[in-house]
Amino acid sequence: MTRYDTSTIHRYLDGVFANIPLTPDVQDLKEEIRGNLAARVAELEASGADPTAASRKAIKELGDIDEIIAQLGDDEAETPPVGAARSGAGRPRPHRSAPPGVRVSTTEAYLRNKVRPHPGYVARTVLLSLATAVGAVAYIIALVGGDSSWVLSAGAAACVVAIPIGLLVTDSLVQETTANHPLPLWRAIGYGLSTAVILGGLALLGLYVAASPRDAWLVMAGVPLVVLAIVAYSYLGATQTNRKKAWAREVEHDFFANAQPANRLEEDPAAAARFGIFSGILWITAIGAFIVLSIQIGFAWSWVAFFAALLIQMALVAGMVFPHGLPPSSTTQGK
Amino acid sequence: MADNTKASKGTTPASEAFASDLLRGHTDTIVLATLRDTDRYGYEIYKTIRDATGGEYEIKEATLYATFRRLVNDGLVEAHWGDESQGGRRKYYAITDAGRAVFRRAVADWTATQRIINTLLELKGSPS
Repeated sequence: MTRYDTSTIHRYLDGVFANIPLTPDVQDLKEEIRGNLAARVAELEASGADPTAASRKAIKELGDIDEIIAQLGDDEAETPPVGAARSGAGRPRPHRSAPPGVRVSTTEAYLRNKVRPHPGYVARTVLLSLATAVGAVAYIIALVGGDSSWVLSAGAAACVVAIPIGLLVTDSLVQETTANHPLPLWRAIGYGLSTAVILGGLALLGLYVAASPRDAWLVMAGVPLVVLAIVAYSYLGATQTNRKKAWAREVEHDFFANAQPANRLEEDPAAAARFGIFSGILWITAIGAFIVLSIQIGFAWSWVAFFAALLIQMALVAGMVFPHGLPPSSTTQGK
Repeated sequence: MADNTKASKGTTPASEAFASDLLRGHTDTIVLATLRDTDRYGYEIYKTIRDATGGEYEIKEATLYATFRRLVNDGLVEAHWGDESQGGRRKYYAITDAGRAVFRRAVADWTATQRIINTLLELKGSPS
């Protein structure tokens, strides 16, 4: 257990930040420096330094803190590009704090950062799309036609759809695009596999629904595949980090900074709460209806419950966003 | 280890000044490199860089804070606070997919540049 003299650090930081307005950004930086200083002091003490001396040494090593604070203000005004826009070196960069209209247009930024697709990728995409189309047609024919071994042929056709689409997904995700960096290979493979698995599972369930004598194994194989894919998607989605390029982030940032003041959800908490409650009731009812219909009538028709709920949900959204038939802009005053 | 840093701070030979000039241009890439396998907080990054070079090269902490801000703004790293209860809370940085892509590109660029420079320098040194 290291017991270090924290008061020296606190006093020092309070002194340095004394005359600076404590914006969230500045507060954030102050806490970060405090954490790093504490780590350094703990390390010095572990090697046998006197607590106060350790604090002083850590502070001395930190160097010129004012320089860092000064940069905080400048940062808002300009962000140096990372490997961007060599052609645009001579012209001024779009400023974050610039008034709307002064900044470089999205189109201009897009053209400057344009990335052409790899010819090989385009060729692969066309081929895989063709394979998918052939597979889809074969699958539909097998579903409609009543051949003796139709389950087998439909399953094979589904594979012809699922595998090319999975490959397509992986292939597109590892490509660098105008707005996005390529995804690391293992993540792209994960997304591709999940897509192939969920398509395969859904294809099996489709066969189950279409078959005249219901084959239980189709469900027993299909449902776990779909569940597995959903779990995999959830994991990938939850661990997904930013892959947008810096310029695209900037455009997005500008867009939201200058966008119309929010939507009705943010302006009118009562409407938002109503919307939430209605949606909750709607979907609980839909799930209940789905279960009842599944038991009473069967899976062939019970999905109608969800379809109806979706329609009502759309109407709810429309009613929420456009109250009394007015577009949202007329009910808001500019910020 | 502690003595090492003190020594390098006091004396700055001419050759080292040149090297650190060259190195400074790669600060972003160096920071991204330290984050490839695990999330780290500011001082840890500083220490990792210092120790990896045996104390030969250290990036000024002020420079590092500016680098972190830039990397976060560009979406190459994401910051999150740790849950330390004692002392100061630590702000951890994690590399993003964009960060990995930029890092890979930077390494490829550097490797190519290095090869060219080496070739050119050898060319000059060799008897014609």
